[in-house]
Amino acid sequence: MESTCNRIQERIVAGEAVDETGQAHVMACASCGQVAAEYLALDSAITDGLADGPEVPDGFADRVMAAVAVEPATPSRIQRVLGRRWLQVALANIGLAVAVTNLLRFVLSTLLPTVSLGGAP
Amino acid sequence: MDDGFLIRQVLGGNRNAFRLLVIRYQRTLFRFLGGMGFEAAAAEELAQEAFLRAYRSLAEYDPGKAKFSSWLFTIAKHLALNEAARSHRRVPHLDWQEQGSEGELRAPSPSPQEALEKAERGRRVRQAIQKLPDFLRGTLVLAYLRELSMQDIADIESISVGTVKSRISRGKELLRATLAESEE
Repeated sequence: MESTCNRIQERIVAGEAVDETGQAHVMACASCGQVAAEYLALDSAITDGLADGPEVPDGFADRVMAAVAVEPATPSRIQRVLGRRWLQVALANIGLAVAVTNLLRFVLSTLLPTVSLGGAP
Repeated sequence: MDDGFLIRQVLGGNRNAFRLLVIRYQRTLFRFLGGMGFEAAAAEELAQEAFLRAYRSLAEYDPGKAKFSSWLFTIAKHLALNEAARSHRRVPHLDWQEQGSEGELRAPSPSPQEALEKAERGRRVRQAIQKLPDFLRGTLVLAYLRELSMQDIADIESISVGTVKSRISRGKELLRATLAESEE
């Protein structure tokens, strides 16, 4: 019985649903009934307490949109990725490496036109 | 119009679509910030900053990872915790109604006496919530907004659903004890 009470009371405290068998137990068990009553009252008090929170002031959305209006346009994901500094540096380095390689190949093929593996003597 | 559609509109250059997102979530965001203990002016400042940051980072938002509301509340939660830490205060224990409309009682009630009792109960509950540790308070307030699923809260808090449930239970136990003390 005690384990049943523990299991049901844990669910009540956590605000989880109690099945029909559990509900019948709560109706019959003074201890579980008391816990259920206390936590139902607490749930209601918390909900009411938070419902009385600050109201959204008039014109709030207008003020947010006024602040949004002075922001730069939201860039797309691709624009944001391409805008990253490290990516720009990496792409520049790759471009430089390709250019240097091509230059070397050009110079070597110009200065040493007959030197190639398997080429004619 | 679902959030995904509105977000695509904003990213496509239609800033006005963002207004609909603001209107959709502003009330819940204010309730959350109120629950975290911020009075009306501070809640407005933080809510505005949360929306602005969401706008600036909208292209970073990944709908595959979390709902927009979870993402927005994650931003708001970090702002709220940073603000609370920055100002070195346990955010004030407040009566929001006193901030605005001269103690006007919004909830209809049959008699002034009952209205006063309800207001007093609400004040004690809010004070008790502010006494909770930050991590329990945040989870409990998110749960009682009644607009987020356990999974949403787990996403916002970066914890498992099981931990969300245990935090809610622990928070409620502490609240009950604090309220019982205050009644003695």
